[in-house]
Amino acid sequence: MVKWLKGSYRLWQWCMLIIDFRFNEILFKLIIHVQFPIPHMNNKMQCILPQGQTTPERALSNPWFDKGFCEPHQYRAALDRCKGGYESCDMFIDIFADRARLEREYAADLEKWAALSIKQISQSKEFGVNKKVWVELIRASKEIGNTHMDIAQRLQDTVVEKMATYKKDNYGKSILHVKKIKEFERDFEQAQKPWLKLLDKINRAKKDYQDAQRQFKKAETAEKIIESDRGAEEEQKTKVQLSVSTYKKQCEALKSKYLQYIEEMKSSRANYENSMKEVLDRTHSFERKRLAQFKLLFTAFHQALVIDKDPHLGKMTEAFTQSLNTHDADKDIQWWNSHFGSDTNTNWPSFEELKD
Amino acid sequence: MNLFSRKSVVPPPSLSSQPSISNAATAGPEAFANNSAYGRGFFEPGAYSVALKRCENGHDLAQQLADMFEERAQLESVYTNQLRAWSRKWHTELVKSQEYGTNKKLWDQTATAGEQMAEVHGALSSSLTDSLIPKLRQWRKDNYEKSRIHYKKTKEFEKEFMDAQKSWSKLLDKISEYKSAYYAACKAAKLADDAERSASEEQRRKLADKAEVARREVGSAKAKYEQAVNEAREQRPRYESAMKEVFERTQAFEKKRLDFFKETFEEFSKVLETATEDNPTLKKMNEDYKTSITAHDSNEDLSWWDQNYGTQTNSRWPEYEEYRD
Repeated sequence: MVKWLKGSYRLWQWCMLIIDFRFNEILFKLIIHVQFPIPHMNNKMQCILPQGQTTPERALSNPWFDKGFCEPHQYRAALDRCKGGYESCDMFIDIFADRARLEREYAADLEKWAALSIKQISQSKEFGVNKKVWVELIRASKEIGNTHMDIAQRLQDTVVEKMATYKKDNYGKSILHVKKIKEFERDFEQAQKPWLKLLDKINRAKKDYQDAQRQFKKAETAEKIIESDRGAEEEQKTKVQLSVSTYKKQCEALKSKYLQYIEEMKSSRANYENSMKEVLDRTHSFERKRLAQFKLLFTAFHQALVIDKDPHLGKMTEAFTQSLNTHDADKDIQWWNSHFGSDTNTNWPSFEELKD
Repeated sequence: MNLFSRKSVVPPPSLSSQPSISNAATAGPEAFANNSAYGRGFFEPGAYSVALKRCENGHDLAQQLADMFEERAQLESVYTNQLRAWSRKWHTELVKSQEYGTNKKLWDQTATAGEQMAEVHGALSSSLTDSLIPKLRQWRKDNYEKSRIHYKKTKEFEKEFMDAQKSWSKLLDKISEYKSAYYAACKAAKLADDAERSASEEQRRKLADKAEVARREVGSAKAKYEQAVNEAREQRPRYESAMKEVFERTQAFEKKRLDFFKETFEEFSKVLETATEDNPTLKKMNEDYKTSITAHDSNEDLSWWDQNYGTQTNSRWPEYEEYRD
């Protein structure tokens, strides 16, 4: 029954690989949970769709899912997780370097706009306090650019660089592969090697025994036939009886060998499990370290963006308020009046005597 | 009275204490060196054109202000779109990645934070585009109506100035005419005098008559000239007040513009402040992010992984399998 379930499950897995991953989760939840209750699928975990094939959260198409960890080669799931962590570091750096660049571009744009606008205003026909205020406002609004330059700098220093350092320290590479992952791989292999040998022995012993059993059963059947055959000769009967007893002895020997291997397996199982667990725990620690680092840097990212008490913005607001307070339309009107208006000294006609 | 009753021009004290921005002015009222209108008396003929120019400048300046804001709105819009693109791109990448658990959720929150920031700057851009700039343009349209070649308002002012100045100009022309006549008479009288003095006895009498005529001419020309000048003196107050009245209206028009500019500047500063401080979206962004950070749980993630791929999984252990037919 179990075999049939597992078989159908494998078939289903294969089908799902072909269908677009996007619908997987819904289908999975609808169908699989109804027909094949999966004991360890923690329903609390929310998946963010859609996902890559061996993403831990993807259950159906993930070749590691639902296998026992101690089964041969299943430790690869742990190795994949390490590799995933390494790729995550790279992606992290890309994402936040991108963001820092974006902020820098914005700040540069603001700077350009401010410089150009101020130049235009200086060359314009505006005058007086109005002009002064206009320029001061633009100058003050440049502070926003400063804020974003600071954000970009903080992102670069406290987020991107830190992750780059972490990646270098923890995922040091030799030419082809990440050293740490290779180390784990070797340790797992070493822990599992004797076990694989043992399993091999067991399988062979099982096959030998079961083959022998088959032969034995055949011989027994032949014996029965010959017994009931009146025309059989004595010689034939003896031959058959001999083969029956030979096979029987063989079976017993093979069976005991088989059972012995099983016993050996049972006694070495605890050790095997422990040594596998020991390596796995080391991968857990490595992963825990990575998760802690990510959390730290996510917090740093947040800090980089916080502009609540940003000094530049405070400065900007102050500059705005001050400048707007100096705006004085009357003063400007008066100034213009005294230079070009009715307060100018007009040359009034007077009697001008002729001079030699 | 002096030949030139104009006092020497002293720059008002306020100007010298102003920062470099006005000293560096190369155009407009503050650029004295380049400004041909500077140093003339307002009431002199044609000098009122400077007030008309100021009216027209107002239109250009309003245009300039609107352009400046539009460029700013554009810049913000670019930033907004970049933030959005960044947020969406990395959200998709993250979803396809090997990441899992609360760590993944928190990471996703950082992408969302980008989206929220984009919202804030999008709002800034649209408050410029949807409210500030249209208001500016509308104000400009209302106050600077154009008919085919000129601004109505300016034309109106011009007409009024011309009306006020018409009779005065005529008067000035008259004065100028009489002055020339008087000078000419004076010159002629002098010539006649000289001729008389240097002439011989017989001609003296003839020339003396001529000189007498010339002198009388001078007298009458002088009288005419003086009368014209007096007329001007009489007319002056009426003329001045007529001109001033029109001028005050241009002043009021300019003040309206200055007040509107101040209003616009204030609104702009408010828009910028809204985008950067006390902004509800930014606040929410911070709140959401903080919540995500506290939800981050390495242990939960690790134990989930362990349950699904680690030692908590049910391994199949080999067991004795009897032969079956």
